[in-house]
Amino acid sequence: MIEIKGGKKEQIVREWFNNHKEGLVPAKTKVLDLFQEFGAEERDEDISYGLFNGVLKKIMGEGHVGASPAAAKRDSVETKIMTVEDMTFPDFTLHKTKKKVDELFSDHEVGGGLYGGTVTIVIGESGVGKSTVLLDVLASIKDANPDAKVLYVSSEMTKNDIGFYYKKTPAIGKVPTLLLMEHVKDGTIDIALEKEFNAGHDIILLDSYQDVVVKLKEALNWKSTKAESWLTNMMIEAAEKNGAAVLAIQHMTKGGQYVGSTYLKHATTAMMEMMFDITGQRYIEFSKNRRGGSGVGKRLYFKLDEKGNVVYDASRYEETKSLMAIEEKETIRQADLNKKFEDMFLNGKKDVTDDSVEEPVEKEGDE
Amino acid sequence: MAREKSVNEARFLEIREQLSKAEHATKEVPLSSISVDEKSMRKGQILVGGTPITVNSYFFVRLASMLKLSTGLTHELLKNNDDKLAMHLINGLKDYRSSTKGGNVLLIANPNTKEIVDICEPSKYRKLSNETVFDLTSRILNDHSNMIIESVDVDHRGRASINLLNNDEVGFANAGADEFFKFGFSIVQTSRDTYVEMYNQRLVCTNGLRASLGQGAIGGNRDIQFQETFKLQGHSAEDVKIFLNHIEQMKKANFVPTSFEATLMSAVNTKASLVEVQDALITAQRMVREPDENMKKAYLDTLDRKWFPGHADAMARIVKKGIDPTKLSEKQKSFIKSNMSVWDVVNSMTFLGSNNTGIPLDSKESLKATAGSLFGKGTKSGYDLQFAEFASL
Repeated sequence: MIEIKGGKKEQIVREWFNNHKEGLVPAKTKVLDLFQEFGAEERDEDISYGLFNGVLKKIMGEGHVGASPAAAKRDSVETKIMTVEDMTFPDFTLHKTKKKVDELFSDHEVGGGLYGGTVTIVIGESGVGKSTVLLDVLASIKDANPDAKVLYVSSEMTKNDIGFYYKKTPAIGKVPTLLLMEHVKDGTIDIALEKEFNAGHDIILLDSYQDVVVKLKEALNWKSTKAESWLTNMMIEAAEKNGAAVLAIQHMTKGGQYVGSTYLKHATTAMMEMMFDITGQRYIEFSKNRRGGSGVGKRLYFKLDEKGNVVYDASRYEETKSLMAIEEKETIRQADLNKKFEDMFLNGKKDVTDDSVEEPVEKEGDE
Repeated sequence: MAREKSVNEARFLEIREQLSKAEHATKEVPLSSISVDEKSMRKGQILVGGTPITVNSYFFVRLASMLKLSTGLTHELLKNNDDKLAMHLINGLKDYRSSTKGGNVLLIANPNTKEIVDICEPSKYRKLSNETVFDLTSRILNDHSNMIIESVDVDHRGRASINLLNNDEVGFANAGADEFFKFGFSIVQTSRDTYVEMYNQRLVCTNGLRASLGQGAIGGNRDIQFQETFKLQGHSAEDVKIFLNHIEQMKKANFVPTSFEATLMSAVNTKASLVEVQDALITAQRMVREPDENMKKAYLDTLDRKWFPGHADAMARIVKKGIDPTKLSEKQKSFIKSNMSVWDVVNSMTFLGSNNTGIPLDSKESLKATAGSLFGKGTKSGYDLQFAEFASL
């Protein structure tokens, strides 16, 4: 520790380093930054920048120089390096709806399906049928495998709302549902969410992410950043540790852009979009999918029939797939034609740079 | 020149392989990398990024066209080996560079001759590769079991057309007892475009005719409106979809143009003018490929006498009247009737384009197209003598 000596003001500076910097002047730190930090504390004595700087140099001369804050932080962090073989993973259970949408969820196995251990963000225009399609996904998974544990978490609907919705969409009747409104009232929304996200559900549908953030802020007086990171981390952990497939509905701007946190956007497995095309027809399209790259960018059109069922246009999807395959092949073939030209005329040289342009020639009549 | 009739699957794959190998190579380069000098025309060479590259004479026509120089003037200067063309091109390139602020152009090369044959703005190159066109053709055949590939035409410039026919026969008794046809379409590959055009076959002599009768309804269904010649607009999935949808629309009408019967009646009942029969004769004569001059002359005479007798007949009548036929303008010739109907002229061209007559003809594909243009004239501007009962010479 730094010896306390000198005049009263010097002693104050020396004590401050002992109390706040563990008796060391951090290396590679600006004196002005330290002085501002020092000055943030209220004290009777008025200590000038010159005096502070002078004492600081004395302390450094006495050998009390420590690591930089970044280095100190780096030293405190323990990194864990291991081979993938040594890592442990949850079961990547494949949940199938036995409908065409399975092919968009993943492409690792024939027919696709929704993998456990994933987080999928679902964005879409208002009224396009996000909740209806995803509830149909849950109901279909449950139909295909009655042992599957599915959960619908609604932050927006009251009991009466969901009752009315059920009349319109009977398929959701057997989907276990958590109405968060009940827990907003008594301030237990975070506890309810935490409990259910760790309760071993195979598939959790959160409707909607943005609304839950708002409710966390309002009910618990949290800041936006805290609410967002808390919810995001909980979703990721449910997928990473518990192997759940988390589907989270997210709002979007009027321009059709995603509005959630960048952290969430990058941490998710897949980004599913539901839109109206220019003719007003509904479609699903993945803009990102770490479990099914071949389905990205391909539209699966669907309709909501009078009974509230989701009807996918499978033949149109197949048509789109085959046309995109043609486009991909053609792109390769055009690149081959380019290569053929380079081999034929340019000895394989790819880039053609400017040539010395021909000598100026006077136009007819130019004098 | 190659021509295939009723192509089976094995032959189809073989042609696909051949055409894929012969596919024109392409390269997008900065316009500023292209250099033309006074000797380019004579040497048949330009510089691309400093590398000398052989070009054919057609390239200069295409370059002139891209630079918006007069096509007529270009042809004239090229024919006369006039050095002024080089100057026009050099100055044109300079103007083009300054007006477009540089930019890229696409060079198109024939791998067989190792020459650059075309140049265009990259956005104007909308041709699918031959392989992809063959893929699409297979797909069309799978989707329409009643269709067959009637023939594949390829010319020395690498232009190709795959001619597909619907097996249903359609008769037009009013035009004659023999007038039974099969209808379909051709997928045509040029150096920079892929397009579809109506195609039909006259069954009595299996003559193929590529004809566009202009925009209109086909198959009697006036709800089905579209251009009978339809160009692909790009390489994207959406472009291909629109292209295939166009073929679907044609299929809905069994590929029979509404105006076909009326046009056929007009072609049967209208005498071809001297200029119409002369144009057809010249088109066919230009395609004779025979190195021996005596043999070539014999072939040219055969075309004149046997296939387009209306030409000699009209010329004889003109001379008999004491008129020098070489002094007649095109306009005057268009008022002189021949003893062939327009339909006879069309059939002569399509027969030459579809069958082996012993005359070595290049580019039979374009004979079918030229025949189609003459036939289609009936629905557009009308045949020269369609409404000229008074033409008597």
